[in-house]
Amino acid sequence: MIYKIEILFLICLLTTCSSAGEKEVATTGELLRQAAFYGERLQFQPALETYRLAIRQAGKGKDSVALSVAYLETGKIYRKQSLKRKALENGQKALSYIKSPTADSLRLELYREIGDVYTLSGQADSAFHYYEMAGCRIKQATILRQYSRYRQKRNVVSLSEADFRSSEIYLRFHSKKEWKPVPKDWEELLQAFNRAYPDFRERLKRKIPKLSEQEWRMCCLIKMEVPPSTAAMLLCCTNQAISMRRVRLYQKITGEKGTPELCDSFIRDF
Amino acid sequence: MLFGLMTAIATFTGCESKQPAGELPRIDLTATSFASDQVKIADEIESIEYVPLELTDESLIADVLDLCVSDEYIFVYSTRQDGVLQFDRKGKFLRCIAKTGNGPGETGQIISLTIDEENRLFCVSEYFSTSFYSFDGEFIKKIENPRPYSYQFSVGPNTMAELGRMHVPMNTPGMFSLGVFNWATDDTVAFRHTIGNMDLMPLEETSLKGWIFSGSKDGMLCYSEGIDTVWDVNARNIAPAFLINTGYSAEEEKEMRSSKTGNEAVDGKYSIFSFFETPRHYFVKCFEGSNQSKFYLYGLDKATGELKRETSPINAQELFKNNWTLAGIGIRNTKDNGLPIWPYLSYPGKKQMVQFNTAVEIEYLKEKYPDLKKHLVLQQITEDSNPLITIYHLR
Repeated sequence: MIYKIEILFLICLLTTCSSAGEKEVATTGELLRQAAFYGERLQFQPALETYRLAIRQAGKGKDSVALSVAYLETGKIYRKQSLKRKALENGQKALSYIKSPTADSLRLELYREIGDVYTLSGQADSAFHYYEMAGCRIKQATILRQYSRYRQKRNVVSLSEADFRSSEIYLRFHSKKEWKPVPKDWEELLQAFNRAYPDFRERLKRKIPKLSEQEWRMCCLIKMEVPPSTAAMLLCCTNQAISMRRVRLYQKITGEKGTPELCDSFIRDF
Repeated sequence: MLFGLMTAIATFTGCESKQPAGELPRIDLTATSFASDQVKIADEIESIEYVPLELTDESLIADVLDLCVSDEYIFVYSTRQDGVLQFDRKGKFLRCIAKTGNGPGETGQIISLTIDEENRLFCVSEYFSTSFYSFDGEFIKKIENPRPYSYQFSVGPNTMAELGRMHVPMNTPGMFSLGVFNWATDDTVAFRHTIGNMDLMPLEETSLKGWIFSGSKDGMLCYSEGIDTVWDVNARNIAPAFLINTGYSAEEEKEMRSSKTGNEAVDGKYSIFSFFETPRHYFVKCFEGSNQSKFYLYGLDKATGELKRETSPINAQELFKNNWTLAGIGIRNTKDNGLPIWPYLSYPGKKQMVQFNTAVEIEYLKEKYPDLKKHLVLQQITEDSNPLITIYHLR
């Protein structure tokens, strides 16, 4: 009885294997179309699996165009998933399979795609290079415009600092002549100071949450490189008091005992 | 062998929980005695991650309308900002996406945000359409959706849980309560036309009221005011998760669920404001109909069925001006003596909970709980700061 069951089992097994062997294997083209269908619907996992199958198949058939297309499309999916390193790797692999001049349109598409990935990575130079090769003048212009806007922004900040240092309020607070600022003077100074050093106060407050108004004014004067004796006059205290305040401030910031000079150095470099 | 059998019987009998197998957990809001007058959560928390959101001219957050968090990013939809703000997990502002407009990638009225984790897509839902973006802010695709939903949440790859439109009579063509749909294939995975007792009123007089939701182990917990069941909506099905006994009479329930009334509360009965799930508990925040300044926190132990309740000392009407989610009314944080714990969204499957507190709310709480002033992170927050995101990592 057991002997008959074993024979039956073997027959079933052989039937299954042979029917599996008779199953039609999808062509590379079919696989690419199916993967594209998944990709279009943002079903990324099935799309990636199908592209992998297509790559395996195309590899066996040494179909370089199909390989290039499969890697290109895989790279696009990775770009959409913000997996930029993988996107670039696939893009470069796709490029390596383009040999024939007849695949020029595919090559241009690849250059555009790689350029897009570099743009998303913030690598403007590389993006510009690939857009240039792809003949994407609009994308090149966009990069250039973004670049010049970035340079302008940087210049605006630098000029503000230079402007601040040559401003009347800056020079007034550096004056060694005996005078006592009123609240309006401080307001004018601090407004100009904040424009020159936009996030200085916020950053300092993170270091010293309980920064008093007097301490804040002193930090501004240190940053502006106002000499200690002048700062003492402006803050209505003695030279000794100003030194003590700087030592205390340094301790608040770093937790360590220091000197007035260490405090000055810290604030100026902060 | 007999000894082994007897040992096995003794073991299984000893481990038997008070909740009979097969019965759903139940939170009885009419209960008058509780296992404890203190609700605790600290022993479920492994660690706490604080993420102060960077404040720049472009990332100034007024009122948070919605929020979602992935492993790498935080997305915030705020009033007075055009679009959705994206931050990294350290709180650094990255970019603004899904801005208002009619162009590709631009949006009209955003109703909810969600993340398709498997496909690594950020999804922005509007009425009748959903837009998809990469985590780099690149607009990928917009799909039109004819279904009348109020919220959409991703519960699997290409799969959304949709909560039916509120305040619309249930007999309106196309109306539904809960559904799970594959937006890539247009397949319906699971669907419920109605929820709650439908014998009380005809369909045309019934509508869904305010949705309350939070994450479940593998999907979303969803509750519509007036019904007695919190539903678990996930990528496979829609099933009851736990029950709420509100003690409503038939008339009161009709009043709550009628399409002719607004969001009602019943004097003398407790209404749910929010809830969340952890691996070991369900927590619910409630108020009593006649006094909406006082809130109660319930904690149900899933294993034992023990129900604990605590009364919050915070005046909800005052706190509401600072944060509409009332996150400040929460469970004592004995883990690091930080802010009261009440997440905006809980993801028990990922063992994470996400909470946000506004800066003015934190200042308010510091006055109510002076010990908060000693907290190193909270010391950095001033009333001008952006909201603080707290991510609790659960055991």
